[in-house]
Amino acid sequence: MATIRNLYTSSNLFRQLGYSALLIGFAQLGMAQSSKVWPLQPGIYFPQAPVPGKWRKSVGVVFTTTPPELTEEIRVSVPAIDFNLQRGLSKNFYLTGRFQTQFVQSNIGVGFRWVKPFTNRLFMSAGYDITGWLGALQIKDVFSSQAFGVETFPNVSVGYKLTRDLRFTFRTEAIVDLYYRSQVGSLAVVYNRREVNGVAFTFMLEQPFYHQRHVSVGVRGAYSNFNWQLWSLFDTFDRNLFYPQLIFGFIL
Amino acid sequence: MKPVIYSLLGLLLVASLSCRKTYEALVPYDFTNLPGSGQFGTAVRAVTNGVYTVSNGASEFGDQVALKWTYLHNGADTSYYLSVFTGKDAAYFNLEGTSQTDSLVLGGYWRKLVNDQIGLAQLTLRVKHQGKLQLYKGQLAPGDTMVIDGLYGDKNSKLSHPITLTYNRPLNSRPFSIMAHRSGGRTSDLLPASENSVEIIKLASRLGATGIEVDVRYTKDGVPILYHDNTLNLRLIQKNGLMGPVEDYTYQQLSTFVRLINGEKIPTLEEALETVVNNTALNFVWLDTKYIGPMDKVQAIQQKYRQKALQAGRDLRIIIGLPSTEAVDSYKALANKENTPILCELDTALTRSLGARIWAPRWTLGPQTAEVQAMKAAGLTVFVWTLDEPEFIREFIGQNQFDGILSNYSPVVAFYHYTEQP
Amino acid sequence: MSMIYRRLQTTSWVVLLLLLSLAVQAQRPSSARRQRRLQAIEADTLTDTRRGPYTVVVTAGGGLSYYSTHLGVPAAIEQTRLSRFGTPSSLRVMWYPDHRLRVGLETGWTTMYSYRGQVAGENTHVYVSAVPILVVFSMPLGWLTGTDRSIARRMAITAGTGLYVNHSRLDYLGTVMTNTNSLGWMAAASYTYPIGRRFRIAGELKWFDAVAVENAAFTAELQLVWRAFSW
Repeated sequence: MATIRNLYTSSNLFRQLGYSALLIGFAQLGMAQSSKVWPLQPGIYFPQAPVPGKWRKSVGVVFTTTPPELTEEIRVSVPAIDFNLQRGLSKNFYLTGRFQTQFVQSNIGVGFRWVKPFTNRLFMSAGYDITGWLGALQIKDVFSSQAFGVETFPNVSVGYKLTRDLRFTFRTEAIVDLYYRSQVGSLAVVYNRREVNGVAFTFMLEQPFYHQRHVSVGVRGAYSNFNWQLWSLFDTFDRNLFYPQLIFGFIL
Repeated sequence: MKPVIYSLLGLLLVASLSCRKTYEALVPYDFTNLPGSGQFGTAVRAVTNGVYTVSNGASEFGDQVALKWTYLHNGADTSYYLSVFTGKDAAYFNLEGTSQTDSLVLGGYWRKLVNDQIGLAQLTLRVKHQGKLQLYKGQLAPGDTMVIDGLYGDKNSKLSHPITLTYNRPLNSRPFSIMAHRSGGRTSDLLPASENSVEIIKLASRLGATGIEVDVRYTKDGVPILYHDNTLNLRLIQKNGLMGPVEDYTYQQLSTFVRLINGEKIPTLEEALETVVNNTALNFVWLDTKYIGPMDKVQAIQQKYRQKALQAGRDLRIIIGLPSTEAVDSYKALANKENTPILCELDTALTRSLGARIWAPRWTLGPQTAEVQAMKAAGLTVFVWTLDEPEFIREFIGQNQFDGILSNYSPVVAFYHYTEQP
Repeated sequence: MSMIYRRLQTTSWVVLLLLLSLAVQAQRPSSARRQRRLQAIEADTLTDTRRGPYTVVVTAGGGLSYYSTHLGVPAAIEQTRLSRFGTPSSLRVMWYPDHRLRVGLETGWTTMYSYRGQVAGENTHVYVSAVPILVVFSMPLGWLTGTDRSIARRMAITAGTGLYVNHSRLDYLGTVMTNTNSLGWMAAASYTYPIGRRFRIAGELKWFDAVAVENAAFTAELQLVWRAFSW
């Protein structure tokens, strides 16, 4: 029975969550919708553009749980500092920027979102992000390695205002690899190919936390062949592995 | 409301498409393991070893492959197997001679280690004689070319895709150690036997290995066993409620309660070395010191099986690996270090000061050309570990500096080594 | 493998229920009272400079647990007697800020499973339990300014993640007790009933999941909720 027994979180979960989102949506269809536009609330994930010319930013932390296929008995949730920056260009179009770092490895991304409001509660956006990541490890008798790469993330978000200040966002991203280069000592390997590396789903709640401070709290499940945070393990599997993430951010 | 419904339906579709596979790679072929070589005698095996050009099947397995026969002793009997090592997706074939009498036919399976692709394979030995393809009957005239062709299938189909291999040149004969990690390979690569089991030691040669690295720990009552991780965990063992350090349990407790992921028992070091000596053609065993504490019991077993190998006329080196300063201290504490060959994974100065005959740095430090050349000039053997990334395997072998590579992907190391042209 | 799938399905349904409860909360009828409350809320959102009160709430409880995933009993054991039930206890300290989202820590103790049997006439016993140490987030389904008479106000969903310290005890030719840490998560739904100015009692259904060791239990607990102090 050559089976990986630890493939824990699965398609079933995603599928059920898809059904849940659908049910929530249908539940809302029967509701009387107020035509009044609710005031803009602070948010990073919710698909609603900032006021044109205004910035929106957040700082937080993302915990990524390592897949057992790569880290074996060492199952840890690795934190990364997470900064987001967004700027409204028009009523329904805005730019996004994101920087995640663990000091020895970092990831920076830029992108845009185009928003389509359907009701005063239901919003949708289509976006495109491109990220570059870089890691370097110099540890005596262990590592003399570095790597960097470029990935891109076409994405679609559906946002629903569950109450006036509680917003739920579901985001789907495709993860597409564009470039990878790693080096050990004087030897280097380059993969210069465009290929779909996986998909990711984010479930996010944004709301006030204390006083006037708003927060983003949610989970993201990436199901992908490569994850930049684990480049130093030189994963050889041509299999999609599951990378669950817990995301918590203060919206500034 | 239509856009709402459409968007939610789209959402559902995307979510539903996020199917997570349960990876498994069940071997689709039952080996008969018939004793003796049958029609595949010494001469036939000798002429089939070699580097072959792939015509049909190149898109799946690359444009050249290496074919090599191995064997397994079982008491007085010997079974022979043909392995095909490829340069694509860590694919390999394991084949055995069938009992067909009218032609020389090999049956078995192929597998790609990087994913879960697996399928049946059946190949027939032919010869191209004066431009005409005919069945090979054991005779190869000057100018004849060996052609091995047949069919392979995939998970869902029987034999359906053609494959043709045409002899190109002999295997690279440069001495080189191809060492399989964890006695043969990682459990996570969905091999048919669990890592650090007796069963995978028997498979190691067929996976391309000329030697193995085994992970040695002690049970609570001092029995050296093979086990990699610090704890009993579901990566390696079947669920039974037992957790925590393997060193907390006696051998009897482990033997009764614990089964490795494919159902095998955790072997003792003695059972493992008995298998190496009595059943395999492996010529190198690297005893990785995963324990902290006295080394005398492992030393005694190493020396016992060195003697057994000598008595059996086997060219077998059993080396104690020192991966840490704690292991170095255990080695230094041995009362008598005679006939106790060691391999040091730490820096070159320490390796020299210990009198180790083998230096084994991590591959993630790079080729370390100056250090490697200095150690080789001093008469040491240099291995690199644990290198699995196929492109880096190719580059390390292409550098032609190291005497061996320890890898979970011994079929890949075998491919790049045997196909390398001087 | 079927046990794994069954467990996954259960997990998925727990998440499904949590999300559905959000939907239920969102589709409460837009009565006049509701409208009045919304207007009140609108008045005090971004421009509201009022602050607090902030409250620390301590919850302690106990109940019954059922081990809800696959387990393995070695083939060598004869006359096996298996138990999936346990009596869990939990302690949670939460910070209730002046909005819906609450955050805190949870710990406790939960029996996972145990089995007894014999090997060649020798008695054996294996017992597995876990101590969760989790960061938890919680949200009442009603708005904080509602009254205790509101059903939705009394219901809350809670989810958390963190560490499980998994304890294993083997009795067979001696006793071996070990602890292994595992990442994991929990999800819960509760109903709270007021019994005094500072005290509530609550019923909570909870799913514990220690992922790496594949231990999961469904628990039902009765809890005492104490508003320890406010500022």
